[in-house]
Amino acid sequence: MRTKNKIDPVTFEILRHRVGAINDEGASSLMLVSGSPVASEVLDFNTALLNAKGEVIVIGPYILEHGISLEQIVKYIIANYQDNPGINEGDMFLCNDPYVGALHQNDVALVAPIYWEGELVGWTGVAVHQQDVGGPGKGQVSIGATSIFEEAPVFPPIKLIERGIIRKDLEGEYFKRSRLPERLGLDLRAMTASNNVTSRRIRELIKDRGIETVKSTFDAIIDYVEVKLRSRLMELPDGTWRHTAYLDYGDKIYPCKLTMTKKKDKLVFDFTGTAAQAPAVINCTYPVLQAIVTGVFMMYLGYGIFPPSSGAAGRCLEVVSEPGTFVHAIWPAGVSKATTGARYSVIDAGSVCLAKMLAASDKYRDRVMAPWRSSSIIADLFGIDQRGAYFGASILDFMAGGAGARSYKDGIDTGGQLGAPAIAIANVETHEFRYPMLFLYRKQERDTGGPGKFRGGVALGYMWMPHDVEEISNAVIHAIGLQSPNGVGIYGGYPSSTHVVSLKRNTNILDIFRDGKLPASLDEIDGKFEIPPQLVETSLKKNDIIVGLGQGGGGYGDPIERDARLVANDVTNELVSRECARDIYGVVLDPQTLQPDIKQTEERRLEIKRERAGWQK
Amino acid sequence: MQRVNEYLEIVEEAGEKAFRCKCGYILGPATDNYKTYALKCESPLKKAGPNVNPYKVGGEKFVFREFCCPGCYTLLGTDIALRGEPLLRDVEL
Repeated sequence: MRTKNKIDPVTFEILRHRVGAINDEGASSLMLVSGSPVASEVLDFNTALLNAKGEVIVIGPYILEHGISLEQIVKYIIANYQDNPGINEGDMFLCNDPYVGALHQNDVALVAPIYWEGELVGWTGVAVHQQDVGGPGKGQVSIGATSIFEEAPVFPPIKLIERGIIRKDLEGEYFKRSRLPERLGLDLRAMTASNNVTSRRIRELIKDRGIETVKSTFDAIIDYVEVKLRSRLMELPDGTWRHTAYLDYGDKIYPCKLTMTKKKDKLVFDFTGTAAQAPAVINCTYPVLQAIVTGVFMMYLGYGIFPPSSGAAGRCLEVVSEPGTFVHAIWPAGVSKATTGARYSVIDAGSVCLAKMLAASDKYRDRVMAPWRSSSIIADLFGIDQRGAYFGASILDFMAGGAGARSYKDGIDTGGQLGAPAIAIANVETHEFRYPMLFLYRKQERDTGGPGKFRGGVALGYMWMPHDVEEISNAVIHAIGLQSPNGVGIYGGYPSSTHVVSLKRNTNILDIFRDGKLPASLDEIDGKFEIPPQLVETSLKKNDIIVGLGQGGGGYGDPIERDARLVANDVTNELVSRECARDIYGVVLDPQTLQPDIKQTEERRLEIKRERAGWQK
Repeated sequence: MQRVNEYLEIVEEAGEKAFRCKCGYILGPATDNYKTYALKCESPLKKAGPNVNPYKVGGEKFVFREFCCPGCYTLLGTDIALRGEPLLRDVEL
């Protein structure tokens, strides 16, 4: 590897991996210190190491945008805080301001400069999702908000830690409004530990290798990744690709229109024509739009390049958008659900355009991937738990959605979400131990992966109920992706399922338990069926039951080209119904053996082609 | 010849660039939207599967569009669109 930076190739190879490992250790420290389930189990966070100018050298494998967005926050501090309040060794700045770079108010960042003998050599940072930072709405969404003033409080970067000492006045200010100040405290300590560990390791590296070598390595890594990414772009055909993703919110549909143009080694993402911003809740800001685009670009084109440097990726991209749209909100538009609102629309549109660009290349055709599960069903729960204490919980099981189908294989079943390679969902036992709830099932759901020559991964479904309490007094349920699937199909592939959320009130579930049975679907339970509004704050009584169905991944290719034996396997494994096998895949199964009837399948597939022949020109 | 995707490529045909299906059928000029020259079917979203908005939340604002080759009837693409939206030209090479 040759770069303009003076560092020999062997040293560079060793140090680029060591720098990546140091950032990983910062993430591990966070997980070990924090007791919050979001940080330690769901892994809804990320860490980053940045150079002295605020460019990201490396991000961790968790939610990419958490790490990418730290660049905007650090650059803001560098540009605005040199004289007042000053930037000094031992300082750390806390920020949840989406108009600076935080993804939404519940994603709190803590960044710290790294010094060596009085010289600023870089920055380290971490951002973690917090269950509640205060505001009118419990959790993250203020239902009915008409601006950011009616959402959770916003903290522009504040110097919460000054020369190694936590400012008690500012810490109190940060904790005071939250319904869960202990959780904030746990994660603040964990974020501080993460930054301290990374800073210490970088100083050890400087002591070992010398400051000039380390500084050169920081710059060389970004240059190296940039060269790699630009080389890939040069191998792809120039062209323009378009996709429109849709976000359903309230009575409206918000189209996110993307025109992606690739010329030589540069990509322009142009969101002109996207719907106007909503008053609050679903929008994202421009710094966040940049982070999302960078993240989806890295997922499709940054594979195998270590370390993952969003600073380098950002150099290859231009993001064009119109102020006042829901992907480029202007103050005082609210953005409290940006991460599960506008963010997913941008990921969906970017995924389709990038996949179609790769499809036009003989070399990269095997890298084509349909969109993954996107959007969300979240239940933010608050009330008195089984031990008599106040509790708050975010049930994020929707994240176990299906992966998009590839051009040569099926998408991963319950694979997670694009842009977050290392995230997870909390263990059922953790949920049940911490919160007054009982799961009746979690399972991979049939007919949720988009059909295709290669099928999209199927989604998670789950059923749970309050347990050991009379009620959960406040359940804020907010969902997106109920009306149309986000995991669309490509090249004849069909889309995934939509999200579905339903309730049964005042059920006979305890009678069913007494009979020694465990229901596998809501149909087996008597009670009052209810489809809740898209965003609602309600209470759940002890015999109420809530069911969620997730989104799968999009399919790839014409479904009637799928190997009939694979369809039969899917039916046997309860991932595809016999009806979909026949109607969409054109596969007829022997009712006894569930193996394909070759002759009837050929006839059925000819029948589908005859139907298509009758479509309009 | 320029590959477009799994099923389509752009070829020279009578001095003009055109979309050609893998079966050899020429759909139309590459300067245009290939979907214009495909066989088209627009259906309610439920055709895409039983778990696609099964309770019709928000009504039925969306449609499911399918495009197939007039030569071999291979499904070339699918779109979800708002009812009445024009066809999206998704690729220009």
